[in-house]
Order: sequence, then structure tokens, then C-alpha cells
Amino acid sequence: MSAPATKPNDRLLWVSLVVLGLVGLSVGKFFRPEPIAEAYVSVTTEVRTLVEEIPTDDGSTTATPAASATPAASAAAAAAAAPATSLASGEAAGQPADNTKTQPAQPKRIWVDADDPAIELQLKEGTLKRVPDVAQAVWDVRTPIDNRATARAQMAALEKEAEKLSAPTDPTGLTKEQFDQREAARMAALKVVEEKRIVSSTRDSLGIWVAALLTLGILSFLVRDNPFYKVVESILIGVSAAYWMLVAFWSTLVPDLFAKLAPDLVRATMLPGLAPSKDPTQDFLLALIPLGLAIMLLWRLMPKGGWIAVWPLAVVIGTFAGMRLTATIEADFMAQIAAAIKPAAAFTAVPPDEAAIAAAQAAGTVASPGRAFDFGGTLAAILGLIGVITVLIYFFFSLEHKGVVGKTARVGVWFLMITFGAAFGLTVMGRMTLLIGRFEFLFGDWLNVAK
Amino acid sequence: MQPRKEQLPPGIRGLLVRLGRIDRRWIYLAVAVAIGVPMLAELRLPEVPEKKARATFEAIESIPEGSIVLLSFDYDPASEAELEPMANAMVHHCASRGHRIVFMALWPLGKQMADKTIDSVLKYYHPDKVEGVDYVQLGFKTGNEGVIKLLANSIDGAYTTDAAGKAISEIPLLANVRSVGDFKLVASISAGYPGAQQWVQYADSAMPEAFKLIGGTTGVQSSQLLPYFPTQMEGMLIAVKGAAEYETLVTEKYPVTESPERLGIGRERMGPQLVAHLLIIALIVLGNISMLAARGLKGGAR
Repeated sequence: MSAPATKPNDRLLWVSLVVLGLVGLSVGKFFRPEPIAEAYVSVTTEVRTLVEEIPTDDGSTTATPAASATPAASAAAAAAAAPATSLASGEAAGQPADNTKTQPAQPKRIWVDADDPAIELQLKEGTLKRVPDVAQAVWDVRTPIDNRATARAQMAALEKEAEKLSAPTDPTGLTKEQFDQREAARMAALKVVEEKRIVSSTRDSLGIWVAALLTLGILSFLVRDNPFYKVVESILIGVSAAYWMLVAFWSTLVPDLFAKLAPDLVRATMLPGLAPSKDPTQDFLLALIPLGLAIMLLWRLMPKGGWIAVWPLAVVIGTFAGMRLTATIEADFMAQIAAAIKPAAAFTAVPPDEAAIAAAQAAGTVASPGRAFDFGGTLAAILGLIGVITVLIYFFFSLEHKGVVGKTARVGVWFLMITFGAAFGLTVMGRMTLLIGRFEFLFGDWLNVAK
Repeated sequence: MQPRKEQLPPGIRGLLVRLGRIDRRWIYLAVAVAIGVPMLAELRLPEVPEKKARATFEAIESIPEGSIVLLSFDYDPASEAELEPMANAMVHHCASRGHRIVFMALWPLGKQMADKTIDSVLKYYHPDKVEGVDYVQLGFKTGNEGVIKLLANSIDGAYTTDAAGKAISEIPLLANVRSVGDFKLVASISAGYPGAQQWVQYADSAMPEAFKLIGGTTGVQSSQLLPYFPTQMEGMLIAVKGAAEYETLVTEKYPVTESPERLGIGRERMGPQLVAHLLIIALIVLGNISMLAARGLKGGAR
């Protein structure tokens, strides 16, 4: 069986898409100074010192200095200290910093900004102390710039500032001392400006390319189902499943089960900030219930005894049914009925007139605000009343929809249709916004032809 | 054997019938052009805030300065385009008003969404805000509405640590917060289940007078939530339109000088939105005319 021939319409569509793509790429390439898909980071250089916290009598530490960023320039110095510090080595491996990790036997060590006044104060107060025999390290702190327009504006501002500072100072009317002082200040300012760098980020640029290709892969389904789409779809499903699994492990199993069954082990290996339990024995015993239910649920995978999995399912369904029943009755039934019962004639509060104020002043009281007829509110209330009654009658099937009942139900259908129309309009708005979001990414971040 | 070509009526009727049978990919292309061209042309429209956006703004304004507010990021990247603009504006609004913010998420990727807003808005426009004192990120907690029920009883019943692993008892901001009733305002920026509806059902119903509940929703979800306004939800932002109106209110009162585009994403998206809506309306009208024109033909409406 041969593959179906490409229809002329398809060819035209493909050609249109290719032409549009080429136009976009050409505009990006020839009329913009920046290459396609280049992201930026700002790089500031800091001199960092390795310090350690002084533990208090109870073994905890009092100071929590700001965490360090990624080491760059003085890699040798950083590497020399890294083995001695659990925190610094963790960061160097790309793991998130955690200031709460407390090892009673080993004081916490951390790289801090040597020029930070708060750190200087803590060093003076003695809550921190410098680690001897470890040289200061120069660190590059890289901060991603999420918007390319911002990066360009920052670069232009820095260039302008540097140009201004590079211009020679006019010595007219200055003594030599004043001139030298101004020159020194200018050179210091110029040095600061030149040290502020905004450079392209290979990692982010690569990320934009990958994201753009994945986006195009998904959008290609609009033309027809194709292998590129299948690959991207599989990636999406695989990544989502893996992410869900990890999230479930770290946000449910670790804190709600393992932490109750073996708190010390979890604190030492997974969750350093885990607070001590008030009643560990009770927690342990209670945790055995979900553990047992989980094992029973997984019994479904065994060759025999699949019925065991029905019991935990019954617990889950029963619990949720009970929980939802009360919430729905309160929030969606009683509260909605209460909200629907309101006067058909609406009034709005208005400030009291002069006569009322004068009368109140004469009586030694405060004038009450007046009220005015609210036409819009009244109309809305009457329409709401008609809508509720007619729609309820439409769903009342114990009476045949004939005569007055039929005509009323017909009005109810109109209300329903208008509601569905409004919902459809809102859905269109939502879907269009999602497409706009993707187009902004493609045109802005990737092709660089829009802001 | 080649199928026999269908005979269409001549003239304008035939054209209209043919229009109704157009390959749908041409419509996709038209939508792409309707969105792409206004985007490249940077079409901007003035926004006039309506009742729901004003109510949302007033809810945040009306609570005392320095109040502790809970922002629940109940969405993920799939709805980011609709909800990120209102999240950015709301965080800037709360921080500018001096409120202290507790971030949390009922969706697994909500924490990352909140982190993004913290980085691009809170740390950018309000660098003086200190983590743990002015704001705290609790992160994602699995359990859907169960988490809300736990929060209604006690914070530490749901969260033992913040997202960075710091014990709740060691966070100064939460020192006097026992349950969700200790917040002055709760806002759920929500893309579906679990989200704003569950906050109404399990938190607002449990303690209706304790705090103000406001929400930001996607267009798809809003029809479910509209009945809750204004009795059960005091403010509501509906999709990017609501975000654009709210951005207008927030930036009028709390303007920013640097990178104002971060608080104008919703307004930027309303230009292409308008053109796309006009196209959809035109297509619906054309589709109906074409259906009428095809009446009586083979395969046409009866």
C-alpha cells in the first residue's frame, strides 16, 4: 500500500510556513546586531573569604551568613578549601545551598563576601571566624538576565557610563589637590563600571534553542501528525512522569512517611531542617497505617491476592467522598442559595445631602448616608432571578416540557446557551493567550525580532 | 476509480460553500498571522479596569499595612502565559503596600512559578525585602485540598519546613501564624484543580470571616468560579484581560521606573488577543453563512 500523495494544499501550506520562517530568520540575522537565541548573564566579581560559624553551647550555630555563589576565577583556591567544607563542596557540585545544615561536631563553613558590612560585624562580634590558612578567593557571581531587552539596556548604560568616565576632567578652576582627588574618584568609578560585565550565557542560549525546537515540534502537529511531533510528545510525557515521581518522593514519602518512621536517619541524610517531633512514638505508630495501606495498594502488582488492593482504595474513596460532601454542601449549595436570595430592587449608598447633614448637626448626630436606585444592579438581580428559575425548570424532568413549563424551560435553554457562549469566549481567550506566550518566546527569545 | 467531483452551485453561493470546506490548516495559519503581526507591530490598547479587577485591588489595599498574606501558586508552565502577569502584579502590589508574603503551591511546578516571580519582581523591585522576615517560600505540598484542610487547622500540620529546608518554627515571619485564619488575605492564582475553588470550599467555608479570599484564574476555569464572586471571593482576575486591568491599577498607584515591562506583560498580550478574537468572530460568522449556503446540498445542513 503506497503512502498517500501530498495534496496541493499541503505543499502550499509547507511553502508558506517555510517562507514565513525564512523571513523571520532573515530579519533576525541581518537587521539585528545580536545573533539568534543568545541569552545573557551579568557577572560581578567578589573577593570571598572562608569563615566558620562559632557554635553555641547547645551545639547549634547562631550566624547564618549569605550563601556563596558559583566559584569561577580562583578555582584552585576554592578547590583547596572545598574538601574541608560540606557546604562549599555541595555548591561546587551544583547542589542547592542549605544554610540550616547543622553538624554539632563540625562547625559550618561558608564562603562569604569579604566586603559585606554584615559579615564584618559578625566577625567582630565573634559569631563568625576566618578559617586560617585558606587564601581569599575571587568569585564570579553570575546572575541570569531574563529579558534580553533589559540586558541590552544594561550594556548600553554601562558603555555610556564608561565613556563618560573615560573623558578627561577639565582642570579649570581646580587646585592640583582637588584635580588629583577628582581623577582618583573618576578612575575608581571607571574601574567599578568596567568590572560590571554582561556576557552571553552558552547554557541559557542552548536551552532556548532546545525549547524553541520542542515548541515547533508540538506546533507541527497542526500541519499533520509526524515523527518530530511524536518524539517531542514522548519527551514531554517522559519528563512529566519522572518529575511527578521525584516530587511524590520528596514531598510525600520523605516528610510524611520516612521522617516519621526514621527521623534521625532522614535528618542526617535527606532533610537537615526537619524539626524534632513532640511525640516520635505516636508519629511512628501512625505512620505504620499509611505504610500498610501503601503496601496493600501495591499488592495489585503481585500475581495473586489482587483483591487486597481494593481495601486501601476503599479508604481513599471513602475519605474523599466524606471530605468533599461537606465542603460542597457548604460552599456550593448553601452559600450559593444564600447568595441568590437578595432583593430584586438594588440601591447604592450615596453621601448624605446638605439638608441631612445640617439636620444631623443640629441634632448632634452624624448624618446617615442616603441611597439611590441602582438600575444596573436591579436589572442584574431580576435577570439572575429569571435565570435561576427558568434553568431549574429546564432541569426538572418530572413534568413534561409542554405549555407554560415548556416555554419557561425554553427561556432556561437560552440562559444556558448564553452561559456556554461566555465560557467558550473565555476558553478562546485562554487558548489564544497560551499561543501568544509561545509566539513571544519564539519571536522574542529565540528569533530576537520582538521585544 | 477517482471519486466524482462534487458539483457546487455557481457564483457567490458556491464560493461560500467552498469557504466552509476550507482546509483547517489555513485557519491555523490565519490565527498565527493574526497573533504574530500585532505582536511584531507592538499593538497596545488602553485598559479600563472593571469591577472584578477593582475589587481585587481594593482587597489588597484595604488590609492594614504589614499584614501577612498567603499567595498560593496553583499553576504550572502550561498556564504561565495567562497567570504569570497577574502573579507578578500581585506580588509587586503586596510588597509595595508593605505586606509580608507567604508563598506556597498546590501544584508541583507552582513552586518554580513562584520562584520566578520572586526573582523577577520581588527581588528586583524590592531588594530590601528579607527572606524569612518579609517573605517566605513554603514550596509545593502534595495532597490537593487535603493541604488546605491541614492549613485550616495548623500551618505546621501541612509544612514542617520551608522550601529551603528550614524548620517552620525558626522562621520569624511565621512566629505568630498558627493556621490559615491568621492571614489577613489569601490569594490563589489558579489554573484548575486544586486551586481557587478548593480554597473557597475548604478554607473560606471553614472560616468565612477570618480572611479575605481573592483569586486569579484562567479563562477556562473562570466560569466555575464566577458564582463565588463577590460573596465568597472578594476579588477575581479572569485570564489575561483581568491581569491587564489589574496591572493598570497597580502600576498607576505603585509605578516602577526600571524595566516596567515586567509589570506590563498582560497589557502587551491584549493587542494580539484583540486581533485574534476579531478573526475568530469573523470565522464564526463566515462559518454560519457558509452552513446556510450549503443547505440542501449533499453533505450540507438540512
